[in-house]
Amino acid sequence: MSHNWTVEELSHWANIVDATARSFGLQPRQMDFVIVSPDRLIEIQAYNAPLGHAHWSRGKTFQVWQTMRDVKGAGALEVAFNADPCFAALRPDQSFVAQLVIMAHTIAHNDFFANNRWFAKTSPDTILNRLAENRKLVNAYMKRYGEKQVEKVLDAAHAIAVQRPLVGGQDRDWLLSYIIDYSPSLQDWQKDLCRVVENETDHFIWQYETKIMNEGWASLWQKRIVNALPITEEQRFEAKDWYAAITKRGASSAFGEAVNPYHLGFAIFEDLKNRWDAMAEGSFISNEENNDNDVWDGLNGTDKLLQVRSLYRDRRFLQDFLTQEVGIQLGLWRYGPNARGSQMVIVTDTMEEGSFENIRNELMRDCGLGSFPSVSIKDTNYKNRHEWLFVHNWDGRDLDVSYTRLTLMALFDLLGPVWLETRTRKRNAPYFYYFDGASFLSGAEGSSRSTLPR
Amino acid sequence: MSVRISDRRDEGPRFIQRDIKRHKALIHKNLMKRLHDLIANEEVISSEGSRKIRVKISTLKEPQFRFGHAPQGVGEGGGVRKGQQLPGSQPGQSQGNGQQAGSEPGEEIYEEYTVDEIFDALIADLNLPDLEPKVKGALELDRVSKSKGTQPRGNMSRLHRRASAKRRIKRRIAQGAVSAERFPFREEDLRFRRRVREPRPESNAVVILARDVSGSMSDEKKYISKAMCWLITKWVRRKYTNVKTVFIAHHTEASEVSEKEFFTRVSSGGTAISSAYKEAKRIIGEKYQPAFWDVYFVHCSDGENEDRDRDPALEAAEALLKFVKLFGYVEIKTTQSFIAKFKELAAAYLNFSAVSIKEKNQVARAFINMLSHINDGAEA
Repeated sequence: MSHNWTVEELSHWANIVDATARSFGLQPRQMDFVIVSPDRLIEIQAYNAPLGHAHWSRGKTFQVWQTMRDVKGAGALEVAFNADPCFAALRPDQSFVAQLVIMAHTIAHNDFFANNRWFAKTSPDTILNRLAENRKLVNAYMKRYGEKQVEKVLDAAHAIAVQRPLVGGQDRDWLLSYIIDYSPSLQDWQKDLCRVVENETDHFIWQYETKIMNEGWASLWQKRIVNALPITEEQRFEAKDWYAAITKRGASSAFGEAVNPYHLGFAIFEDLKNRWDAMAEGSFISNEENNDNDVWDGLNGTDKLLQVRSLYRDRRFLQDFLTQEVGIQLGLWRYGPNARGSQMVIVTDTMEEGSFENIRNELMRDCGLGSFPSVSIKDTNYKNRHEWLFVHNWDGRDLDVSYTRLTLMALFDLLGPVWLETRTRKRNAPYFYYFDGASFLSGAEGSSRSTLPR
Repeated sequence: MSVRISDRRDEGPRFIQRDIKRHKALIHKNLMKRLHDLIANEEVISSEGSRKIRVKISTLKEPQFRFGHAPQGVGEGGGVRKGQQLPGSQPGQSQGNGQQAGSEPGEEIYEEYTVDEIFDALIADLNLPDLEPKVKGALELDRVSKSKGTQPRGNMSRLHRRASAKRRIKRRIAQGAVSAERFPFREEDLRFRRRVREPRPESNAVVILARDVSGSMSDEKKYISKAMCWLITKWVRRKYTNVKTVFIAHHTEASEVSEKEFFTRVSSGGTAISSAYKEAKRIIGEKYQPAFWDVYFVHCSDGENEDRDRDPALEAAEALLKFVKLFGYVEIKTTQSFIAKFKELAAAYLNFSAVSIKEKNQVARAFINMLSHINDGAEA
């Protein structure tokens, strides 16, 4: 696609976008845009960063995105990375107006990284150096201990990297840390590799936890910023299409129509701004029956937005600010199996009396790290066999058995024979999986049909 | 503080190549699992070995604890009503739930493989009999010519310039005519490359394919027999330098036909499979004597055979078995199987193998079973 801008022009406008964002009260860090080739963009997506340590899964992600691009014409418009200065990759094949919207979108992400309090736990100033060091270390170990040996450790470490509490929690809830500290069999170089993964996960995990807010934030501000730019009516018209197109992106679910974080976050933030603006103007009287968050705190809409983006992450954001009105506006519904379990059907929608709370609770359970099963370590000398027992903290969602098998196989490489205790919807009693290096066994404790070792 | 933009659109990926290579190596194993579908693909079986086929292939799963098929979740978008089936959903089909962290772009990619690579993958893992072709020294139809030394006479196109020039110089020195201005070539100087014809160790095989053309032949049945023929022929070609194919179409009578006719001909009426076996035996006797040829015989049938042909068929089959290296009986989408009647033959002859195919994607498996069977026999 040919485009109608030069790098100088884009650079000129990028500064206007940045200044406009600041005039609204955003406080982004220094912004570095890089216009990259289509394949390099996908590479950055694959590592979730400008670079990362070697692992086959990155090659897989690259190939998958490449296929998406080549077959369906789908792909990212930008990749923003939480570093200081903030790094973002842009595509060379977008129109001038599209680039304006994308740059505004990205600068809002930058502001979010810089000001959301959970991101204060990351060290964006050193992340690029750390990634480079980690990459070097992994490459050196591959040379020294062999690609496959290193891959085994990384497979296992990646597998359980997100199984951790975000704050607090017991020792045994921090899977990777616990293994590094207490596995008797791990060698130093293997621990180093686990630390590489742990260190990088520390950086990336907050993105999961703020996905709805961060995308909503960027979707909201791209619109407000670009609307405030001195552009022509024609360009304004094109920009409108881009707001919709970008906000529509990101619906990625087996069900095609499940909730899109861009859209959801955008709708909540917009509603929030409108309500606080109305309260500031005195035209909206807070309802006694609503919760405390609706009591006016003296802030106007924009200041309220800035406050919420600093203090919240997704779960609490949904709890405090997803109103039934927004739910109805978005047409939220719950799905589940029908009575016979033969089909997935729509169970309730937001219009239905009393169903909104359920919908919101389910969204809260499923968002951020809640989209991954919670697993902790229960015993490191299970049945006096010197074998590790993990426990899945079942919350109504069953594990996928084939993935469980793969994961136990990966853990075996680090820890030897491993156990996992879980539950299922069918039987509300502990159920065990076991991998001993040769076979994958399962059964209920004491059941005659169990193939587990006694 | 100002926003910076740098232009690096000329730079390709920097780090990913190694990771792509590793992933490719790992999913190569997945190709094996996909083979049965691939062989059931018209594009594959009607292509040259070097032809590239784009194959949809599953990526490797990353070990990770995950939730099973979403039992419940939240969706968005108006216009739905309670009780309505979820669009495009099958229970147990989906992965992840409404709010999967990180975008999952799907788990399938396209890879290019040549038809030969696909076939290699199919036979690589299977411990198939390593055919030891008989070396048929007696049949030297095809010889190779090699240059070996020089000779004084020959066609000018085989003139050996360097040898000829050397001889001229030798003659000149011998004559002491060192400073002579002109010293032309003479006929006696010329040397020609000598060609010797050497017999090449020759291995000959003939693949005789027989098909029941009576009754209806759906596209799928036709396809399955085509795929089976393609597989067996391709496999034999791997092992022999000289491979011929013979096509026999039969109903109550059998005759040799062209390849095109073989797959298209349809006739109504009864079926006597003995006719095909007799015809095959006749052709072998006439053109492909087992002293010089290894014979592979494959018969595709829907299992129907007239009752009165039962014993003649078994007799003819047994007679044929003595001349062939493989007798493959392939029953396709059968309604009345004949396989059981071959039971005794199958027990007595290790080179007999019968398989049954119901669906397109069972072709590769059937082919492997057929060959593994004679392999086991060879080892027994």
